[in-house]
Amino acid sequence: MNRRAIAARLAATRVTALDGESEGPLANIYRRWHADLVERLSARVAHLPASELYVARTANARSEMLTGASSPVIVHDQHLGRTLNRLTGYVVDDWPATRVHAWGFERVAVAAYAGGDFDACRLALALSQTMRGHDSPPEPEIPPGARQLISTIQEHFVLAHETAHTMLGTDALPRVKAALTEDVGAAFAASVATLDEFGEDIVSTAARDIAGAIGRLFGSGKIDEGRITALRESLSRPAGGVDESAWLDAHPHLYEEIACDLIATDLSLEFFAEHSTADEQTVLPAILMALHHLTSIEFLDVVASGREDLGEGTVQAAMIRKTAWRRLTRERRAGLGGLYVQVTDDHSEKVGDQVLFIVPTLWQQARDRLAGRPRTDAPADPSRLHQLLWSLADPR
Amino acid sequence: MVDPRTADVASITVEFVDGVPAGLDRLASEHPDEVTVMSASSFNAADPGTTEAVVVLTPVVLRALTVVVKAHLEARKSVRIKAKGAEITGVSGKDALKILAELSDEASE
Repeated sequence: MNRRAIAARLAATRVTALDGESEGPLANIYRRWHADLVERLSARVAHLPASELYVARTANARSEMLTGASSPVIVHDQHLGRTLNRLTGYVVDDWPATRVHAWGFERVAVAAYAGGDFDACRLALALSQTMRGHDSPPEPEIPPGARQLISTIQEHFVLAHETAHTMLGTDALPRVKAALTEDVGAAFAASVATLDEFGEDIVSTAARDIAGAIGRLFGSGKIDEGRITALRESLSRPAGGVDESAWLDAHPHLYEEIACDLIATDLSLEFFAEHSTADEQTVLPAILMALHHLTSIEFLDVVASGREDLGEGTVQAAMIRKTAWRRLTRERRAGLGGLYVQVTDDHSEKVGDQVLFIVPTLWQQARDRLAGRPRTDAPADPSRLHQLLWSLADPR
Repeated sequence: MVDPRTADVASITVEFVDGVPAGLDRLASEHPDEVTVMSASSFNAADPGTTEAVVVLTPVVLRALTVVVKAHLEARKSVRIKAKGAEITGVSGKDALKILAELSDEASE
């Protein structure tokens, strides 16, 4: 694909000031990873379709695959790597929740800008700035090298996932669905059995965590408890449980996503076994944390859109992917199930609940308060906002 | 008056919702330097990607693109136009064609 066309697309759809590919040591690492991934996949399948890599840097922090008349192009966003690193820091170094909110509102600002709502973008940036002033970053709880390893695994996994799509090709869905239906169905059946057994405990614990998080942050009376309850109820499972297999059948492209998650997991395990001391007990929990991070990122995009129907679909799609991934990888080694629970609990407490419940609630409250007021300020300036958002991805 | 959202725009994408319009591939083959048709799918998207035309702005290609977009809109389908990282909101029917005309005027200057 014409690289000039890719640059033109990014200029039109993303917040970036680059007029071409990102260069530098990190971009070169991604290129080496991509070449290595292609080599590993070529060893697995004959006639691997060609793919290209385009390293971008945009405030949108979004990796994607472009397909057209020629070979597919993976657009790998360098800022997504920084975002995963940042979120991992929030989880493992126990950052104050207000810093997570500050990040969350940055993300809402980018998504609001992308949707063309410049007033919302400006409001979200102001909220982010306010939140950032509440607390100081903590001293790292684990050595920086350990956190970097987790983030490196996560980024490698994302690139491996996209590369796996190129291996499957454009007409892969029927084959993938046929191959995965039985395994994924068994995974969901096990998941439902777990929920039947422990469902009440899980919901109670989540409710306690959320109430605790609100209490720590705001004290009493500063947050709309009714809205929290409504959000929690809208995201919890209805009586009888969601039929995940039926939901998956209604959204069949998720089969391919699950397949690519599993292929990417294999590729990342292989890579880090060769190039580091990281084994399954490090690589697999890091990947699960990445899947949780990506759910949070995606959910905030939906918050900015104001479409609650999309929110439920996004959470459901993410849950299905993660359920399938957990069930299909945990048998690799004893003890992984416990690690998965720990990663999920840590992520929920430090990032997930903040993103799912607190940020949307604060956002809605701020929007509601402004909605009735007469306007006294000048309209938001898109060019200025573009500069501010770009500074998030280009912090020089 | 020029809409500030379309000022200094060098390229746009037009995302075709509800199917790819007839004439899009022909447009790309007639203007290979200015129009590229591609589809994008994101790592974490809950929905599969849609087809879009990436357009490097010139007056000639904008006039040709307007014909394709108009036919798509007349078939009761919609488009999303993006420029400089943002969707140009409030775009439907006449608005879309107006914005393309405005961009075309700017590209002629």
